[in-house]
Amino acid sequence: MTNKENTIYKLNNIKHSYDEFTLNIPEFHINTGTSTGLSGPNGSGKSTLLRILALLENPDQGSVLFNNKHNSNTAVTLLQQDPYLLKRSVFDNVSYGLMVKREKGNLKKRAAEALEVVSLDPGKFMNRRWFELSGGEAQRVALASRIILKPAVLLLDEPVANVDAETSISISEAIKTMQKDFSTTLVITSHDMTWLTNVTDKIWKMHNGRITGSGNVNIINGPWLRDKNNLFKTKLPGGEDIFAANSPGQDAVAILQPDEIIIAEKNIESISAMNELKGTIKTMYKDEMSGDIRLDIEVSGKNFTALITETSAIKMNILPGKNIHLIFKATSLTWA
Amino acid sequence: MDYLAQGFISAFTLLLNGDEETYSAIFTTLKISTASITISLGMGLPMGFMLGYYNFPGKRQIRAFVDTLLALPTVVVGLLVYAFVTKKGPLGDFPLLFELSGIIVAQIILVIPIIISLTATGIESLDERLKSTLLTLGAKGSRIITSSLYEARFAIMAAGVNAYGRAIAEVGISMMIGGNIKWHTRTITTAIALETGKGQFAMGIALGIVLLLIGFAVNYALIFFKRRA
Repeated sequence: MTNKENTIYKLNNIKHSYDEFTLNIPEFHINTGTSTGLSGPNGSGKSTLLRILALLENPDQGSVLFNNKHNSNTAVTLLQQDPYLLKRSVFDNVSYGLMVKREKGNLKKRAAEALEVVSLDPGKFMNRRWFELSGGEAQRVALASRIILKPAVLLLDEPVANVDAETSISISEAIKTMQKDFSTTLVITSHDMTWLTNVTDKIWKMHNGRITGSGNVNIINGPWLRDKNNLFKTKLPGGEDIFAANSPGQDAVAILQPDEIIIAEKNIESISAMNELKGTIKTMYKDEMSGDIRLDIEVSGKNFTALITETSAIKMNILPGKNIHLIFKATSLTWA
Repeated sequence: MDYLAQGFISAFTLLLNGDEETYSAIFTTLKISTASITISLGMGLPMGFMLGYYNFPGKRQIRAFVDTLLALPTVVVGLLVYAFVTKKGPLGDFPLLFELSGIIVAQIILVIPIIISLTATGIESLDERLKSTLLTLGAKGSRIITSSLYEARFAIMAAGVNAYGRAIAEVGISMMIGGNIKWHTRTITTAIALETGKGQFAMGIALGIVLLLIGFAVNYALIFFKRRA
């Protein structure tokens, strides 16, 4: 998972609790200059992990080493979900971090450059006040105020959650510029897997405070109830049964790798696999990590991710909106 | 009603002719209230910040006490300070009684709860994302305090204006601690009380007009700064 010389973050035995939630990460490393994605449902611990990586919160247990040191947050900055703009002009917001660092040279020029990176016209926006910005513009100003610092690590919490398509593209380009021009290490959370795949090198899935796996794994929650033939089953929102083997407990979380799913155009009568679900393809695109075609499939309100080869996609005439069948064995499900 | 109309005419005559006694009371008022507000802001802003920003044992009780002091009657403050600064009092050796410095001390006691309470309210109403935003932009220690105060600047300006209004309009303290000594501790409000008692409406009206003008000017300054921001 890591080349020790390039490791910028080392997390060991992290435990951090509030209310009934516990973030539990036995080991997690992030390499310098990489772009790491974190995905998972609300409450899975993504934002808490980012706050720990930003060194805004100390974990209850365990250690966070940044460049092999504790508590060295001068080179890390976090853009929170729904960011806060200071009640000042755009220029004052963007240049605030430099003023804090007492870097007062060429402030106007540097602020203008940062605004250009997020595709905002400095001539038009520099003197605008905080309340004269749309949600997407405010998001980009907040990003520019981090970009101007040229941080070693930029942590972004749901940066495209509430923005339009144009802003989403601008943010993607700004992120890529940061990585290319300044070798910034990026850690980004998002629910938008398509967008996240486009801007990160690797995606980690989180669930119930744990990192459950990398890539496009599917997470299936319990309750898992004992069924016949030593199997366990749970139900999707639409009532479909999913069967698994060897459940460690009723509330266990199952993981289904995308390449364990077989895509079929029709129902197959005689097959040994216990699970067969009917779904609709929502989106499809080339997966940079595997080189295959990634399919996002909706099955009674839940999204599944599957991978098929480009040849199969052409042969089966796979297109968004097409109804297909997902087939996988009960033993394909592993446990988090 | 003729005496009122005559009073207004005489008042403007006094103001336009630069009547020394009238202007002495005006300048004394400005001197005292400006000094008391400046000192109160210097002490009250950090205290209000701490009360609004930090959580500590007894915070609610302190807050309740400070809020109660908002309604302090000026004569009660005058009485308490008088008891301390009179010749027999524990501060009797200091030249405070019938002096401007004594009025300033008493006015500080009067207005500092206003500044602490309204500043704390302003800080408490700041967005909870502010602190983490400042931290992620590299701010620490005193920079976080000054930036938070700046974010709450409109609430703090309102606190200052309220406190200033209370200071220039009070009578009890100036009368009891200052003694309403002509050319020395006579303020606008004590002069109005005295002249009205004597049936001399002109100076009273003139000073009343000035008092209102000061109030308008301070409030207009607040509106002006809000618009500029």
